[in-house]
Amino acid sequence: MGSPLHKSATGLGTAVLEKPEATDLSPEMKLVRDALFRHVGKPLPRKEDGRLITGKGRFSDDFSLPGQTFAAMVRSPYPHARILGIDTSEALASPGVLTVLTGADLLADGLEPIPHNPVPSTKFDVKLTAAGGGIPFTGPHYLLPADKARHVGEAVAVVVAETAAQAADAAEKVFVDYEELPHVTETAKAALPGAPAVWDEVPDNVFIDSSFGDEAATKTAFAAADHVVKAEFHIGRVTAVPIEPRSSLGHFDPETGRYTLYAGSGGAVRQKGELAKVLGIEPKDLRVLSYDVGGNFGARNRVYVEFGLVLWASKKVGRPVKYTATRSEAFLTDYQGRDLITKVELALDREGTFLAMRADNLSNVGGRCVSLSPLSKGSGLITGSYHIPVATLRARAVFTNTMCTQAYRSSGRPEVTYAIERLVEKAARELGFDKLELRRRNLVSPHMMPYTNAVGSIYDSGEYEKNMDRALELADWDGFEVRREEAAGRGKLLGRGFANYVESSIGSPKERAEIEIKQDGTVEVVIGTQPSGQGHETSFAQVVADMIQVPVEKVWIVLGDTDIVSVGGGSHSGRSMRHAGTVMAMASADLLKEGRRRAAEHFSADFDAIDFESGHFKLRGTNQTIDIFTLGNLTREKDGPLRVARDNEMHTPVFPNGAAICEVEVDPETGHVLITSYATVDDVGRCINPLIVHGQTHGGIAQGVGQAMWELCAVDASSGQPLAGSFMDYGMPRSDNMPSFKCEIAEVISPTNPLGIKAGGEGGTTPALATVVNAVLDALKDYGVTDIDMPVTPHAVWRAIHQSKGERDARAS
Amino acid sequence: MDLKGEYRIAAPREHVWALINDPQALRECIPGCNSLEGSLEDGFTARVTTKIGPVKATFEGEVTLSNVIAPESYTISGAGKGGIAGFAKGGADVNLADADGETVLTYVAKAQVGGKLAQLGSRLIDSTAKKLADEFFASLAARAAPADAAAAVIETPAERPKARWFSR
Repeated sequence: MGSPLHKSATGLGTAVLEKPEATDLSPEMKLVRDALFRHVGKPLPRKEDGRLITGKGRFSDDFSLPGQTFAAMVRSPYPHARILGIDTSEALASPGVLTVLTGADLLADGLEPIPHNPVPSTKFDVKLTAAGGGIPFTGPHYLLPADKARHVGEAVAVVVAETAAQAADAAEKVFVDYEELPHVTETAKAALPGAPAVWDEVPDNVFIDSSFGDEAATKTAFAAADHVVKAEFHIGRVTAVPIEPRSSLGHFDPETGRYTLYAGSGGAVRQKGELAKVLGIEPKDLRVLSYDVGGNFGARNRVYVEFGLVLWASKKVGRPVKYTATRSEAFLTDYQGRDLITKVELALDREGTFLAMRADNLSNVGGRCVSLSPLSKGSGLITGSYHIPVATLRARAVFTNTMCTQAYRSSGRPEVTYAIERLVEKAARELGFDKLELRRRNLVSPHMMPYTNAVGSIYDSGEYEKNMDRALELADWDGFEVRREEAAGRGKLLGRGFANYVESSIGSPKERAEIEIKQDGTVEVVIGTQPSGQGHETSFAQVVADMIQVPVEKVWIVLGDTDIVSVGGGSHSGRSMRHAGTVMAMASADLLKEGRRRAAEHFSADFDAIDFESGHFKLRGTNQTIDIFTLGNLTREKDGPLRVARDNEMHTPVFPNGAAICEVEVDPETGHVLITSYATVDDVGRCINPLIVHGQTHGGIAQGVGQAMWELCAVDASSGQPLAGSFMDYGMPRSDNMPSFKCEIAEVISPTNPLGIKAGGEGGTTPALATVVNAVLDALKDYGVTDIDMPVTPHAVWRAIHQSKGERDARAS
Repeated sequence: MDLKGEYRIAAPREHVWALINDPQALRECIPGCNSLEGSLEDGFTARVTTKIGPVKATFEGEVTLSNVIAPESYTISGAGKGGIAGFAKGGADVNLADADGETVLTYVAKAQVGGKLAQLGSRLIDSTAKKLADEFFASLAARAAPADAAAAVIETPAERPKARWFSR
């Protein structure tokens, strides 16, 4: 996907690059910031790639311990069934079996549910409550349920044996006495009166019901409006499909009384804290190691039951226990994404100015609530990139007999972007406005920044119309007619789709950085984020190297071992570069301050007489200098290692934004859709490494396009059975069905953090669903097709063409 | 999923009725049936091995006859567990009608699978179930009229089951 790596003309060389005003910066902070502003932005190739492509990665399943045993899960084949009893005798008598554990054993041992803490908690997150404002019941998530299985695939027992094959064989001999119960898997049906209750505690399944915005003002605005346009969309269930299935190796050491867990995740610190609570132990008695992670996209942020099970089982059998999911198990029980039904209404005046909006969002969390991030994130962004003076939103979440959902690549934002961008397009079509002019007329403009939207989110900065203009140029929007005619000559229908987007990046607020000048002439940086392909080892090294002015090769990033990394919010919500960058800048400044102090002592001079330049401390007005490594070594004996640790807490969100355009070619005979071009402009704030940001954007686009075109966790509603358990039935984006992307980065510096960073990567996903579907509908407009559900598979497109044709024929006759 | 089928069997109705109530005949005609034990009155326990797409499994379960109206119709039902492969359950309403000394057998069958069978074999279930039903009734017909089995079995085109994963 070779796209140009140059930065956007819209972002560079203009007034937008002015540094954020900050008069209260320490001299060291000014130094590191100025140094950073001189050097970052280089497309450095990733440091980690050499290691990863030569088989030196350290993924979870690569770890083995002497005497290790293997676990296999006994999973429910029913969507909803009471567990009347579990007969483990035959399994226990099978070759190599060491133990079989059930939910009843778990309760007997006093294990606690996973404390998912699913309600987003920062000051800026939308507040979700139960109906009437109460604390929501979220469904305790025990490692194994003792009462009921609430979705197909839920683990109800674990078998531990000498080999993986023996464990799998014995798992077949665990006989669970199930009483099948009525089930509900569909989002809308679960919220209807009379639906089977997934939890007795929530008889109507709706455990979140909150409203936002000014209801009275919205009502008035709708009543006075010239036009009202309505739509309802279902953004379906998908799964992350990381290339590395989840895996865990647990070990309990009776001598030290400590547990160790090797498990790739989105952040080892969270895993440690929550699993310690599950086991009822002090956090210090659990060490979690998470090195290389083969894809996360949100699915790995939360604790998986198997991670706790291998730790618990290890203590039981007195040996290490390993569990690695099969691909089928990953399809069935990786935390899944999306699944939102949204009903939206837009009020407009005669000229096309947006007056008000209403939204009603219903999120399907599955059998228990692991995270409300998607509902919450989306709730704050229902008005999209547009100035809509008043709006109301009802946000609800519902239990169903399906796998739990979690934040998935750009949690919650693609859903609401899909809703507003398709609604705006519908308004243009129905009311006769030009779809781009209607957008322009209503975009939030730079002079309105910081802009508070109608549901209270404060957009920090952005030049939305400029993004739009540049994306139109990149995509050669005006040359479309020529391409359309050329395609028509070949019997193909060319369509173009457009979407603006704005998204929020909030994320876990705390981060810590430790920086040490090592004796061997390297710099070690300890940080609590967890890359899974984002290239932190490169971009973070780049940041620190620039700030303390040493070659980037000398900087090593240490992450993923909770014995070294004590604090850290992990990697999610586009938080890593912003949080890590900020705290690394603070730590670098602290390091330079300590360095100046030591250098002053070394030169027997005043602190204020010490400058720092090109990695050297200098005594002003002399030729005396000392480099940072030599200083570290010279002062090590007296002052200890030249080392700092810095904590930072940052709540203020940032709002990455941009525009995306795609063109599709539809074959009306077969319904096949081919994406012929795709262009984006993404305002990521300050870009540290454009090579990495582009790579992240490309992956993000593919992930959004995947949902629009192929991906769906199909469930047969009548039987409650998931139908997509392998790549045979779950379509994926591939290099051969993606075009070469034209991506540009716009850098409108965020005033919310010292480095001006927003976030990158998820912006590829956020507008992609709307962009692709808008393009397909544009291609089909001559057939009278105005709506189509995702994924837009050939059959869905073919059917839409013929259904619409049938309706027209029926009208004509 | 509803499957329908119709067979014309060159044997009198009483003969066919006796056959579809004969445990040994059932055992030999149920595709992949390893064992069938029990009685008409109390039901049978059965062991059946079958393959749906990539999943091969041995099901252990019960087969029962109900709604028996001799010599005209009954409902044959089965439910089996196939270990880690999941479960299958289903049944067929079987009807026999006289037709000039021969018998027309019609059935309406339902089948449902769960677990790995559904996740991996869902798009093959309709065709597999149809194939298994055809094999079962073809074997029965062949036993009923062994002299000229091939000619005697006339399958009338059954209604094609709707492909559910497309109609979503």
